[in-house]
Amino acid sequence: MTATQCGVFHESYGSDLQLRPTTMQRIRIVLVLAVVVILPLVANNYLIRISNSIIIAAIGAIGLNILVGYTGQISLGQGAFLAVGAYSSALLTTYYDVPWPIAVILASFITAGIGMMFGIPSLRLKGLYLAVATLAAQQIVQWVLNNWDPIDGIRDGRATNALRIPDPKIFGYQLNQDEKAFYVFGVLILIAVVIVTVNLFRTHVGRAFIAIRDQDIAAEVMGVNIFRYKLLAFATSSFFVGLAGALLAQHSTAISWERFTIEISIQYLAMIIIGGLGTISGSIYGAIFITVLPELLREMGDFLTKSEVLNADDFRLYLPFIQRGAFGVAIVITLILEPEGIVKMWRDIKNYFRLWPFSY
Amino acid sequence: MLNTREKSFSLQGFLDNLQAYFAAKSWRWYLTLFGILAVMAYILNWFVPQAQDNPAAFVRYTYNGIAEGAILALVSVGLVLIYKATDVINFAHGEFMMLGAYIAYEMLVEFKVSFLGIDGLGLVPALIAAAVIMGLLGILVERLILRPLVGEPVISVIMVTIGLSSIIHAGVGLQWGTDAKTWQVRDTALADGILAQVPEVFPEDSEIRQDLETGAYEREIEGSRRPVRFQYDKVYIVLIVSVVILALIFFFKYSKQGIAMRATADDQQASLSMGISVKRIFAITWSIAAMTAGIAGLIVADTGGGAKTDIPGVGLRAFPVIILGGLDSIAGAIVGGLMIGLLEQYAVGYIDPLLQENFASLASASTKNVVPYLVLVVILMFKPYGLFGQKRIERV
Repeated sequence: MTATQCGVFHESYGSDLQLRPTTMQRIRIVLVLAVVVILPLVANNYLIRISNSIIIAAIGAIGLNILVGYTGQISLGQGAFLAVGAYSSALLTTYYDVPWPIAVILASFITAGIGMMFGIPSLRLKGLYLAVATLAAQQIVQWVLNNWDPIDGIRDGRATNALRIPDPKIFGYQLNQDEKAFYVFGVLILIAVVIVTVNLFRTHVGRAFIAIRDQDIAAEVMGVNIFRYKLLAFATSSFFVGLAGALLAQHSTAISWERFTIEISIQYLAMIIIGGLGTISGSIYGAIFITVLPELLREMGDFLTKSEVLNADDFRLYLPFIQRGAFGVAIVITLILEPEGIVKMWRDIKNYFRLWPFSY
Repeated sequence: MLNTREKSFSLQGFLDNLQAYFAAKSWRWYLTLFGILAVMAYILNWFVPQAQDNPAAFVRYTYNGIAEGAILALVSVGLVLIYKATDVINFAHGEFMMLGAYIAYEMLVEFKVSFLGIDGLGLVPALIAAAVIMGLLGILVERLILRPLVGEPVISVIMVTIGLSSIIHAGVGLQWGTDAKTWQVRDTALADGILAQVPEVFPEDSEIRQDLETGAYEREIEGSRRPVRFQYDKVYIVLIVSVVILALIFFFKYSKQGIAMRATADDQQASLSMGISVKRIFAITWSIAAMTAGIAGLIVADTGGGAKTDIPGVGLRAFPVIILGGLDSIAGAIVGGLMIGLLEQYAVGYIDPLLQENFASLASASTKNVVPYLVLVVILMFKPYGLFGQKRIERV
């Protein structure tokens, strides 16, 4: 490491078009893939279940990042769009006997449509006004889920709030029971989503999104049809969010409206903020962080109760508040110390070691 | 001499102006106007006969609506103040309210404060204590959490207030638990004194008076019918809110800091160059906003079953209010608050029964929470900066 490179040089159009031009990046991607492949072989069921939650959260966070991080349209309606995805896939499989893979795809398209509908106010609204208009989407969808009887499930002859979903099966594996099967399936989808979104921002559509975020009036002057591209951003974003919602529904045996409240919208926003706005890898880091944090706290608490530092009853009572407080502290500290999130921290660490022992 | 304008009113001139005003509008404007008028006529045609049919119920809904609206207005004023001065929406406002309520609980139940020896007026020192403590907390929050983020994008600042709300929520949960903390101090003194005057507004034998006292509207909740009684003590909500808002108006109009705050809201750079400490203005703004939130929280807790962890929901209800009235308009916050408050009550009174009759699948639905948002979306289509909000002119 005596001589370090000071930039990336492309000598052909082929190398210019590569997603991972340098050797280090390729080594890293191989390492990450190796971890992903080895994990289900060594981990227990609990760890794989958490990994599955991370996969679903990562797909949703990438979707939200397209809208918030890349296009700059703040959305508080993430929970609503997840709910639309989850419920439409669930209803399609329950009442219309659609095979579940087709239902998942249809649900994503339905969510894209609904997202576009709630994106219409973005024609005239900006910034905080738009944020509250998406809050309206959240409240309206939540109200419909809460009150509309036909989407309630039936258990023991009585209507309940939870909607039961027929078991999704693939090659004889039952995805809502077999965590490993879902893991394989989910990882493949996540990889597909990442490849699609990374490439999306190398096309003119993606660049138009970024132009709208940076300065929408300038973008319009440059010939970007703002309204069209904003709607498109809402649609693509909601498509992936709907996909996440549909996967969530297929992963659980039953869904109810409590899982799609405004708290969920806030959690997803926290993921992309903590991970890094406007980066795909940041969405994944954030999804990992926000999903693992409460579990980690619970494990730590369990450990402390076992070693009798804490009283078990007290701990069970206080845990939700501790988790919530840690979530808030994480957001505040990230924003105050490193507003660009985990991605920036990672880049700083890399740069430090690449230039070491010289500081510049 | 050149500046004196003709004050005398001429009908011809007025008509000419009117004609010029309408002639300048496009056919689309006329179409929109016609559409709005037609929709309003349709709604009134449905609403007015119902209101006339049962005037007592109408008075009750209006009354409750004004009381609810007053609280919403107070909450929204705080939000608008923060937005005007610092361009931030405070998502922790509901949590500030909750803290105010818990401080009042501590004062009333743990410290047993009283005022002038009358038990019933213990609320007054509790209110002052809540306002003072919340004011200090507001300064602290601004200094520690908001100031490092000056100049960051909107989303970061929103998220930091959301993070703050989580922290406050966790702190309250750890300190006081999830059970509602109630107090009962407004017993005889207040009820027999000031509030006893209220029933006198309506004569003893009037239908409205009887309806207000006994026949509360009922809603079926989980199988049991729970009467929701008309509360005379809602009068004091309107009273406190009016006092606080009047105090704010005088503060902004006559005090030095108030004028400095208005100047900062108008143009930060200009006021900075005129020697106003913008940092201090931010701190004062947060402090005042937290104070109003604390007072609002106390009122909500006092009239709604004590200090509990779902008070932030009221803060959430203030968002349609501030968007409806315009994010940077205090008058808009007050008008919007009353509008949303009335709208919610009319939704309970007139839209819920309509849904129950006509849509079997929505039988148990309560439209109270969703109607404000529906109205909000429709109004934003026509007035994207709210009813009173200032349109921002952007340049590249």
